[in-house]
Amino acid sequence: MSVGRGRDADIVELFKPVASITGLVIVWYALVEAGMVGGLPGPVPVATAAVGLIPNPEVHASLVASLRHIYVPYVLAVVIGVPLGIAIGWNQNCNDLVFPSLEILRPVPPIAWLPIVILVFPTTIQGIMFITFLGAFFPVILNTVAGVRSIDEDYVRAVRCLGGSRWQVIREVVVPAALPSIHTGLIVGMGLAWINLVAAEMIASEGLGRFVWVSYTSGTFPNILFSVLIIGALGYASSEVVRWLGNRKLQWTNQTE
Amino acid sequence: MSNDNQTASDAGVRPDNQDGSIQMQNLTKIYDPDGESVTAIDEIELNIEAGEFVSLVGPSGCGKSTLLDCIAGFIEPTYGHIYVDGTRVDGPGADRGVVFQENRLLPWKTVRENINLGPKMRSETIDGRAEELLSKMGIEGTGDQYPTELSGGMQQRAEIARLLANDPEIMLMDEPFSALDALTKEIMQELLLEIWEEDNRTVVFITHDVEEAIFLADRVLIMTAGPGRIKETIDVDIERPRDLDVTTTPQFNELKEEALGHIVEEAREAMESGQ
Repeated sequence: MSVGRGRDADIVELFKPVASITGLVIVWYALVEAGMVGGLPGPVPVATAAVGLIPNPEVHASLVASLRHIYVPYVLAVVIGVPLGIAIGWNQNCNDLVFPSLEILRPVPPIAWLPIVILVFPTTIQGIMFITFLGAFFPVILNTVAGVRSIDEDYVRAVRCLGGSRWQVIREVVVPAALPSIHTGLIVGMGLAWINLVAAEMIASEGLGRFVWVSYTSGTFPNILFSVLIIGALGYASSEVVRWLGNRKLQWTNQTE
Repeated sequence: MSNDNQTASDAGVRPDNQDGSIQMQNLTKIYDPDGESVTAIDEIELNIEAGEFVSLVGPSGCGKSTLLDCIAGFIEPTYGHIYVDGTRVDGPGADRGVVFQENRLLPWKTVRENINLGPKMRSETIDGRAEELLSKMGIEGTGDQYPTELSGGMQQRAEIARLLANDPEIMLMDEPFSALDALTKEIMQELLLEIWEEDNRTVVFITHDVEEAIFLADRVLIMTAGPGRIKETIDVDIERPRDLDVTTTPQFNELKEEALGHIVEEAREAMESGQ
């Protein structure tokens, strides 16, 4: 392949995400112009609103609050979900004892948790954090379990016959072999943490979810769409950060020719 | 050259005190998929001397790998026992290293980290050992690469290096060269003999290639299928050190004819009994 074609291909690669988002805006514009989406504001009023909102301190405060709400639960979900997932995936007894309860709790949507957390937690923020935690926790744990279960038994055997103990097998084989799948869980978990966070923040006194709710009750519809876009972009960006961090640790998976 | 006094028969007694002898008594493994029991290996009695190179040949599904897995301690026999130097096998151990058909180098570790893994897990010092083994195996300079960056032949070299770093008394090899191209395979066979002649570890080598079995081994065991038993033992009295030129000698061809005769007979019986 010539250098020139390679560079053209790079430009095409760069252009694809831009084209994707441009396409989304065009569809949105067309739907609004055709009057098919009720009172939904089009791209132009939202862009106008954005000009006013981007320097707005209230928006900044909401954004910072949301980042604070998501950070702690996400870290907790990883710290608890990964070891528990390894235990469930590796040990049949642990699986039989823990997994059925998890599967019952998993399909419960974040909104359904709201009344429960209001009852249980002393502060609303703790409740919101718990719901956010659940969003990240299930994808993290399920992907960890799947990663551990798909390990090729012969790698375990190879380390055992080199003299590895059971703990050394977990450290040298189980964890690294499951890491690509755990990484996927961390990316998906980040996305779901944002979804749950925004839903739960509707009852909060601060945060982007709160901002959406207030914009709705006060009838400033372009503000709703602006914050929806910000939430989407933040969710996307934080998943990409997790992806990027993971890819640096998982260099070996890219070595296959 | 005759070495009758060294090549033990199946019922032979361990002649010396070197480590790495294997005794199998009444070794039987019955699998039970869906309640229908399948006897993979049946009442195998076999002694392998310390330092002996034994090849196991037989049709696929004859229980060769099951036998090897039992010696490695990966699976438990249904009946019978295996002893290594008089100690009963009850799980995998560093005294018995395995070379797999498709190598099982850990893909998330570099070649050097793979080679150092065994000693590292025992907290042993490993200064320079990896480099020494890489050059011994003819793959110097690959230490920092990941296994998947190497060719199939180089991966098998690295896996053998990893085993040697661990200094096992017994090397269990499950068709280690069968996935390699013909030329690489021959080079690996000669390399393996070179290594073996240096320190005379016990080797149990599984293959379905009769020429490979004879070229490498002191003793070729021919297995029957369904249930797996040892049908025949062929002593290979070809002088060592060997190189691939011996494969064209009349002596080699005679042994090959004999082995093939048994295998063909076995295949015919298996076919007639409808398997």
